[in-house]
Amino acid sequence: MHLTLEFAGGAELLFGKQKNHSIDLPDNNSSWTIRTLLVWIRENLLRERPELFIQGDSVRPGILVLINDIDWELLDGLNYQLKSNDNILFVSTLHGG
Amino acid sequence: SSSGIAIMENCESYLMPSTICVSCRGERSAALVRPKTSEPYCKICFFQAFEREIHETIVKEQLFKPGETIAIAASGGKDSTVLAYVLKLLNERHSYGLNLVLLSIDEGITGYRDDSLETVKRNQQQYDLPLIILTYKELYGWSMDEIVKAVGRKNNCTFCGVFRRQALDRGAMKLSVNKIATGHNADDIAETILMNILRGDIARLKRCTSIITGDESDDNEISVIPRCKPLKYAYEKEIVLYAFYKRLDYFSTECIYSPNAYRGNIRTYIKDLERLRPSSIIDIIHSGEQLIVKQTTKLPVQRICERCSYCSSMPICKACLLIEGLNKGIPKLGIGKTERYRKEMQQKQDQCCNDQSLCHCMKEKLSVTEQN
Amino acid sequence: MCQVNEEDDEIFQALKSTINKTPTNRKCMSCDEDACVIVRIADPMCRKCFEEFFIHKFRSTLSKSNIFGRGEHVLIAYSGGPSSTALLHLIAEGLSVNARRRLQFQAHVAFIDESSLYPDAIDIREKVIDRITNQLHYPLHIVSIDDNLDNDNTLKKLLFQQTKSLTAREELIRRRKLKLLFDIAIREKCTKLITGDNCTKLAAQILSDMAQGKGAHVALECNLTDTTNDLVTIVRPFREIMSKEIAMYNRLNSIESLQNIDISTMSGIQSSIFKLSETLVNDLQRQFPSTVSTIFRTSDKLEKNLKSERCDLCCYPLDLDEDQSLLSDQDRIKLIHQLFDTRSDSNDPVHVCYACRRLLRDVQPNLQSNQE
Repeated sequence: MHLTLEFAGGAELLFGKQKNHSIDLPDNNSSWTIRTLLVWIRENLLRERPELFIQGDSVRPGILVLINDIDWELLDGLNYQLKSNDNILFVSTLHGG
Repeated sequence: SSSGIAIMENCESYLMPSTICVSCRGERSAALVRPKTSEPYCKICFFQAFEREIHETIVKEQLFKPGETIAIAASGGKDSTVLAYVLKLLNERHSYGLNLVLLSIDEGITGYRDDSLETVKRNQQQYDLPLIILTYKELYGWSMDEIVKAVGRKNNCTFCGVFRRQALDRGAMKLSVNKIATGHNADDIAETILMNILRGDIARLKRCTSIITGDESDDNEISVIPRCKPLKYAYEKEIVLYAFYKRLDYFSTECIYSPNAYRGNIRTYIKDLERLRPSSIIDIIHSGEQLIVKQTTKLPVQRICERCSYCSSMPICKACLLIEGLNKGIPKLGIGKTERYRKEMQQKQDQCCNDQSLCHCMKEKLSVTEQN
Repeated sequence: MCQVNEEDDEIFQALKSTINKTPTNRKCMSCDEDACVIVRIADPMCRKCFEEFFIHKFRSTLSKSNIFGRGEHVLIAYSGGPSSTALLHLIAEGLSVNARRRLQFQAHVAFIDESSLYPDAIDIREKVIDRITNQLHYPLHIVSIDDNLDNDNTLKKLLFQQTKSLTAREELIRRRKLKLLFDIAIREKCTKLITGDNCTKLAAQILSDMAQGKGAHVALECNLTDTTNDLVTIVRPFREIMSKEIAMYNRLNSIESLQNIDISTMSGIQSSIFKLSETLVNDLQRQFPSTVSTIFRTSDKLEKNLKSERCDLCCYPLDLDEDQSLLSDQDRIKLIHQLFDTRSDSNDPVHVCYACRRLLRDVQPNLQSNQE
């Protein structure tokens, strides 16, 4: 499944300063959610200091998640079922990235 | 005490074998690093510094007057045990002329209070101080175990907190003491300051830093016995160290009905701050003391509960409301939004208290008046 | 001591109940379009209504008390970060000829160039010049964070070789930037200084200040108009806007911030007092969405300290007695003259507040030790 990931507001610093990532998730039996996407990001994309991006099974509080420019809180948050070509944006609102 | 050993090891791990004590300058070698200052101290100088600072607080803040009877709120835990020990010691050393008594509240929590009360009873022997124990069962007709059985674990801390505050006052009245001394330490005060900021409780924020409340200078409190906190500037870690090295007999366990996660967040925050900068705890207290509440801010007016004469911001105090809820089998009464219930109750003209057989607050009120 | 207050659980339950209000409704609360963002505690809004809400909040904060005089020279503190970039965008719209209720002041922009501290931020100066001078046509005043320091005594050297904690580094930069901004404002005859401080950041700042003993300044530092400096009033039009709302606004309007780096970027969540405080606020905010607004409401109920004697380091009113605030260490006095008082001759006595005194303990003016 193809997705566009964007990291901004300083979150990009944890991903080699690259803001846009075009990714393809492997097909698995169950469907992908933000929760499982975060696990994938941690294993495949995060370059350093994972604790500055992920806390528990969610993003670190203070990082805003937008799914196709819509607040993830409106879309079941971690349980949102990803669809092909979704755009997922992670913006850090924390002081100094 | 496991926590004492943990802190002691923590404090000793910094020390080279030959580090000298900064206080006696090498007369003795250091045994610990003072948590408050991060300086190496020998045991004797640490004891002296710890006791001197409490003495200075007592003198500077004029906590006591000669001839007063002081009830030490004794739980058997580290804070109140150290408080009882140090007050007894300073009272003799500096001739405060105080009459000290131990006052314990038995909430009726099996497995927690039973053991700690045994400790208080031993303290009574060890320090040769009179001891009075009051039970929730006697005062309110309900023990905490019974309350938890009735309300579950969700709101039990509300009951315990409200009842304890009143119980100390009632006990102190019975003993006709002048003041109650509690074992609140610097960490506790710092925690309360932040808690009150986080929940926007401006009235408590104003009150929580004062080292003495309910005395003549505090016009917001009426008809309660003044309380003071001689350990206000003493670090929790130092209290544990002091108790440990002095081999004081105290009971260390957490309440089995532990408080909510919100307070836990703040407690962790303070421990993290202390690790970064040990002075943080005292710095928070300094900050709290500097806060001035706007004159225009509405603070609740204190008056007297119609039923038990305890001070209250409402016609009927929280404890009486909670008791009524328990007795009527609606424990939610008095928890959360209580405005509607209070109004209903006022209209009904106190069925519970007219009944006399049920309401303990009335009995208590009667017995207190009789004594007077 | 058990620290549970009467209202502990009550407050906890009340806070918790706000969480359950998470909308199942995905329609905008004001117009029935599909919502794209949740604001305040749990209000869904569509893009159009959110932008109106956002701009209205900004404009009403500014027009509330007729802060600006017609034609007044006003300095906007621009850091390149998301908040001040959004701020500049909104002010530019408010100043434009076709704006409703047009803003009437003369805008200047100040940029403190910190690129000597962060090797990664090389072309930031060019980007700022392009945006402010070429696109917005405002007078731009760029000052280096090393302004007036000689090459042997750069701020970088002081921060990384002579300052032993990240907390102290962050605070020194914060104070130095404020000092430089005041200097620019005075030089350019600006009587107001607008900053992009948002309420999420200010809430963390309140806790961080409390933990550093800066409680005396909390009320001023969060106020809409801050009269710390007699000549230049700080104005904070974003003080009621959340960082999430700013991020959303920037995204919807394709507003790109120029800089997302500061001294503590990439350091852990427990590396400084501010970081710890910010983490606590954000953790609690996720669990209890009213956290930030409650902290903020508390600070609004506090009286501003308007003592005329100021701290020579942070510029805020002194909270210590004259003899306690006076610095005696010659190296530190020299350091403060170098960094914070570029005009007067260096023999003046230096007074610092409680928090700055603590801060200076972490700075060793002449030692070459490189800790951490």
